[in-house]
Amino acid sequence: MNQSGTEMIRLIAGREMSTKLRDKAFIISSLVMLALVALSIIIPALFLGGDDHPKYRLAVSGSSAGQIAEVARQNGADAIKADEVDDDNLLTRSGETGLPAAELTLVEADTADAATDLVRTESADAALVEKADGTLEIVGGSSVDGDLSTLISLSFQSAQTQAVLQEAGVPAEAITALQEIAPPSERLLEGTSENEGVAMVLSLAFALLFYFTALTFGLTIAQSVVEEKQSRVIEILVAATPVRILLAGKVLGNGILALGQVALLLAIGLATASATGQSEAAGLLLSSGGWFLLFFALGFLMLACVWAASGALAARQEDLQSTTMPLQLVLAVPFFAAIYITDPGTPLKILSYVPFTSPLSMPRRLMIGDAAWWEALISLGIIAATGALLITFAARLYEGSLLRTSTKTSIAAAWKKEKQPALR
Amino acid sequence: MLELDGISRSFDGRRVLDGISFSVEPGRLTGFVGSNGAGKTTTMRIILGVLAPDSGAVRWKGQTADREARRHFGYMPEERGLYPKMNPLDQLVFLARLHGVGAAEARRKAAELLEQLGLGERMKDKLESLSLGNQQRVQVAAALIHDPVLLVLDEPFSGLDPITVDTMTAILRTSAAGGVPVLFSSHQLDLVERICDDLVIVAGGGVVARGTVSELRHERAGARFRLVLGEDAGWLRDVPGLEVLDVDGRQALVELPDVSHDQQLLATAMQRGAVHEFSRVIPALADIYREVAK
Repeated sequence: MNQSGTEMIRLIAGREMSTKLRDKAFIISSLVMLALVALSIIIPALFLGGDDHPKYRLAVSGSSAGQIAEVARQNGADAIKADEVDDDNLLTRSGETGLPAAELTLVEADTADAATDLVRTESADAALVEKADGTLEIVGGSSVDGDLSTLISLSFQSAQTQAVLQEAGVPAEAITALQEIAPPSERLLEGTSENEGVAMVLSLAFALLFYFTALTFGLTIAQSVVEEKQSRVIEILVAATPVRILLAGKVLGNGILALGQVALLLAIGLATASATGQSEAAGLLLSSGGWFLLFFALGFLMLACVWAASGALAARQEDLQSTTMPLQLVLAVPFFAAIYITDPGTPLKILSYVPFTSPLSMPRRLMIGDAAWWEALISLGIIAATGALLITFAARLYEGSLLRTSTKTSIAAAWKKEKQPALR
Repeated sequence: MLELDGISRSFDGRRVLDGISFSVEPGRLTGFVGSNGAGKTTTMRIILGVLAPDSGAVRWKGQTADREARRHFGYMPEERGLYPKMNPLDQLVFLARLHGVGAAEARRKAAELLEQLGLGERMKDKLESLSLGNQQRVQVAAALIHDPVLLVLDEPFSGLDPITVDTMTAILRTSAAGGVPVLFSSHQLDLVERICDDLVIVAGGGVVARGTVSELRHERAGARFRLVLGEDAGWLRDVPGLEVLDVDGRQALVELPDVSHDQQLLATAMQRGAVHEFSRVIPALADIYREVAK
């Protein structure tokens, strides 16, 4: 019947987890959180129309206008296809054709006036009409959208070029080859403004996620410790298990659940972002989510034992409010820091190394390309070292207060080195 | 066999236990009696290793009891309690496994035990939804779930209704009959007297009396006799050297200077008339307790 410490830790962690997983309130709040994450990604996507390709109705009159409009429609559609292939590559934009991706709907009009009327009545976004001198004109309301005019102009130029080359006797294959020459593609060194916005939103989401998950599961640990004290089951447990194993099991069980929940939320975020075609968000999530998880795991473990100790200091659930207050404050600091200090600079740099704020500030720096991977490792090392210190400190408080079931224990009394705590 | 050897323990400079020594024999129910604050709970916690003694040793089968030995002890603390939101079955399986019982065996054993205790139908309900009596039964099961080699129960009868007292008594007897040493504390001296084989009385941090119940009672029996005569017993007052404690018509309670004078008294009484009853008074446990725990 010999049993190792790890088996006992696993048992205790297992009990913590199965209790939590059967707790209806926990299940419901988790599902609500999942739904919120999904909705917060889906709803903006719905308002933005899902894909970011503009749609235009173009009124056309005259045969040459019709030809050019048709070429423009085809080019716009081709660019959309090219863009979709390109989506995986965040920082490169529509490389293949160099033409704006847009969905054109052509509306035939009998006369130039009729076409212009369509624009006036807002039945069309613009009109392409053939003037009396045979040249073409784009007619808009108060303005013509840049993408639309670029699309039409470039399509016109390429059609003209093609015609001129054909007249000059250039073989058809050569003309096709000429048109397939890829124009210069774009590569951005510091992301687009759109990416920056997504990164900002993501940082905020991480901050919320970190704050609420760490708080929820931290409090769960504290509550679980008080429950054992208050229900007096603790004496049976202590008779069967070394106190530190009890502590380790508790921290591990809740740590796994906390990490699991964060990972699940990130996965849901990633899935909804990809499903709704928000490639920038999905890409950033993928590249920074891993770091965030790593920082979250270590950051949570660093404080988990302190949560347990703060639970052990309490004698009843009502005492938790006061014994966990310092920890709640400690968690609020990185949350607000992460919200207010977001731009690269010395403050963010400092925060990214302070163990309590680094779980949020370092992933932020990594996300905006302000820190190298080895900086993250140093920061993780600082968290681990702080965690080791805090665990030693908290384990002693836990041991010193666990069996004082009658009243709230002061930190000083719990710290006092006795052979074993006094039982009253 | 469990042995306690010179256990002492102080709290904040106040000596609660001062050289407690006694043993609990296999197969015997040992009652542990003492007034509030006499150190019973502290002693039991030290046996279980929940508390460490300042000095002295707890030995199991001749060896100092270490954590491994203690994991096979069964314990029911004075302050009852299990996880309120867990059902009895999961609760017992968890505790059994903490004591090193395998998963399948723990499940089988827990169901069996709950069935025996009449909780078969409630084993999947939350503990807090059970009646207090049923919660007590689960608590007993928690002490027995891992087939302990020693049972230590702190006030197992407190707060039990008469039926549950009988169930508890039967459980303790069964465990003892299986060769397990059983130590339990109680304030209910009549109950202790009725079911105990051995007795340890503590007062002022030390053991003031120990032995089998009948040994203790006979050792402590003085030269007190009860007489029921054919006529009025008032003449006993005039017998020299005899202390008359009570006379009520034909009945009397007297104390001889020495128990060896009993035949002389009987002969005198028979000379005076009929003697219907002549018996030595063996004190009840409660009387002994009052005397030694002063």
